Amino acid sequence: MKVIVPIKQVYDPRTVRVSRSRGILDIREAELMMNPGDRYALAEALRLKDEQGARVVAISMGPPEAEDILREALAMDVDEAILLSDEAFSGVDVSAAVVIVAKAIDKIGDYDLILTGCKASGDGSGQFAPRLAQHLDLPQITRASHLMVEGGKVKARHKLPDGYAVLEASLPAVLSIAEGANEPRYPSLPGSIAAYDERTVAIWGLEHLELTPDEITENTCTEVRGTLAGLERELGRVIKGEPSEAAKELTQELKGGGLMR
Amino acid sequence: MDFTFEKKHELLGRTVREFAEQEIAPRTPEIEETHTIPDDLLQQMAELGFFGVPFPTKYGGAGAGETGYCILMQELMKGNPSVACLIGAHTSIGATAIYLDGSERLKQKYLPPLCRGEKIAAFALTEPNAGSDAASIRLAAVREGDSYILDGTKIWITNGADAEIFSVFAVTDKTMGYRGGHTAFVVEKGFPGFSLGTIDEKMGIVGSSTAELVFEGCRVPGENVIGQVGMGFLTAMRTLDHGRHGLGAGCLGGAERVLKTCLEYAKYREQFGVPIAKKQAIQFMIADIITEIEALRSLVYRVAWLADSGRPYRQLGGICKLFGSEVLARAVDKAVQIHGAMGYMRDYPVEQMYRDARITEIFEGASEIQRVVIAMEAFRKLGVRIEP
Repeated sequence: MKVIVPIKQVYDPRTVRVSRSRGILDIREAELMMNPGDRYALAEALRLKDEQGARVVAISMGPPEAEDILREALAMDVDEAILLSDEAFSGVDVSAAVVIVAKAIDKIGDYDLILTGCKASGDGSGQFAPRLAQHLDLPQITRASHLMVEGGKVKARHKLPDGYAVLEASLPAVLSIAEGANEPRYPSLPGSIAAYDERTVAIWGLEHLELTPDEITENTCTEVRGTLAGLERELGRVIKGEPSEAAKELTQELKGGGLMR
Repeated sequence: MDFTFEKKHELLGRTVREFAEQEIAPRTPEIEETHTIPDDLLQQMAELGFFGVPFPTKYGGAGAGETGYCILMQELMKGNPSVACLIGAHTSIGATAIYLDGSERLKQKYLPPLCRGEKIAAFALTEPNAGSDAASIRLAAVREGDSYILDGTKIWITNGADAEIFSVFAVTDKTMGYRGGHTAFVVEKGFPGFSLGTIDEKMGIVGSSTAELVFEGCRVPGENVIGQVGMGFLTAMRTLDHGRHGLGAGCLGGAERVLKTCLEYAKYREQFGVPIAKKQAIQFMIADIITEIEALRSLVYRVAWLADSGRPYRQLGGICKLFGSEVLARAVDKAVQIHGAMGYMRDYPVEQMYRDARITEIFEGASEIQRVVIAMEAFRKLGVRIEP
């Protein structure tokens, strides 16, 4: 069994500042990290490695710095790491990213499962897995947990707002792993050192992937016209006093605001 | 000159920091109550390779060197000082004695299970009459055929109740004293004639065990001699020299944790209508803590760099331990003052920080001994010998 896990490097939201006056994210002091949602996909793939001997390949599209999250994945015990990096890939949107990643997945070949996070903490479109499945013409299960791989099929729970559905798909398939589906792994300490001292990250660019710059631009369909700071929410008001009086006041407020008839 | 960490050390540091925050720190109430570190936590740490960080990969270590080890100690101390203490005594003195002077056979036999965390190590030097004066040990080792028979006691041995492998220092020739008369041995918990005596109750680091070891005709195979017969005192001193910067690193992490607690408290605690952070008296104390932390950080990682690049670091290692433990002591003292009565109460973490910090000025060479060693070295360079 071969499992491919596409992962993404994002800014650590704890280190990003929001400049409300300019409507931009201030990333001057921001630190980079592995997208938290992708850790669930890696943990699920590594569970399949431990229990069923799967070979796990982590891939990431990004600038040269993104190599660090692949090394981190190696430290968690993935078998192979590939960085898709090229000047031509900078600033691509999710639809072009899917074209690039799908090409890499084809090159790796002979895979059974593609596991992804549910959404990235950066732009958070949540479209990557569904678009990738569509592009590769593969079945998909989004927000998946409780994976069982058996007899050329994968069975998983698909999380719904009020419960879950058990879905089955033939292999190969694309699954986005639900947050909380498992306990994400820590890199091991010897693994952390070996990830830099002994292991290698393959770097594939435009040429290696047999893509042309036109294919990238043609598939980029998002245009960013501007960014806005989120609305500032005012703090709620606490209605004090006797409960019966407070309830009356609350009802009046809600009626006055058109929230209750 | 470059003060940045290598990427591999950054990853190791981030991992330990997150592990300490998420897995170790939340167990503190349990550790304080039971006076022991939960087995499942130690098991998890063993699986992630926390027990052999500085040692080469050929012995099952992480190969992270002294820089990696200092990062480990710094971050562990933020999680829980008892856990840091267990790993510290295991790694930088217990296993290091074998690593520094043991034969290749001894290293191959004992280091891999120690690095994997399957067994815990301890360093047994102190005796009732030999604390700072380590040359006065009396534990006797008498040769009998291919073995040595050990008789006597060791006290206040960190990890004593948890360890299975002990680096033990004994007298093989009374007439020669510490120059040629002391020998180091690897003693396994299961050797006949070895037993645990009193397990001590302490002021702080209560999750780390401290015990008396009793040797009654304890038979140790001759092949378990660490290094050469008669050279044990040197092994002890070399091991202790080797471990000092790690302690300084632990103190650095401890002081950083203290600072964080003080900053958070001063931010919201209001007196006279304003947060106490706005009071100069508080600002001055916090500024002093920060200044000392930054000085200590430079010192710790300078020593680690010296050690990893094969340069001499003996004197600076002692300075690092001395300064580190006193920086931490001053930081916890100020922390209690900043927190006022709350800093004195058992229900709040500052009280524990204060108790846990005190030992760092005592164990692995008391501050006074460090000062003597530092001065000795300075005079030695002038050709003047001063002996303790």
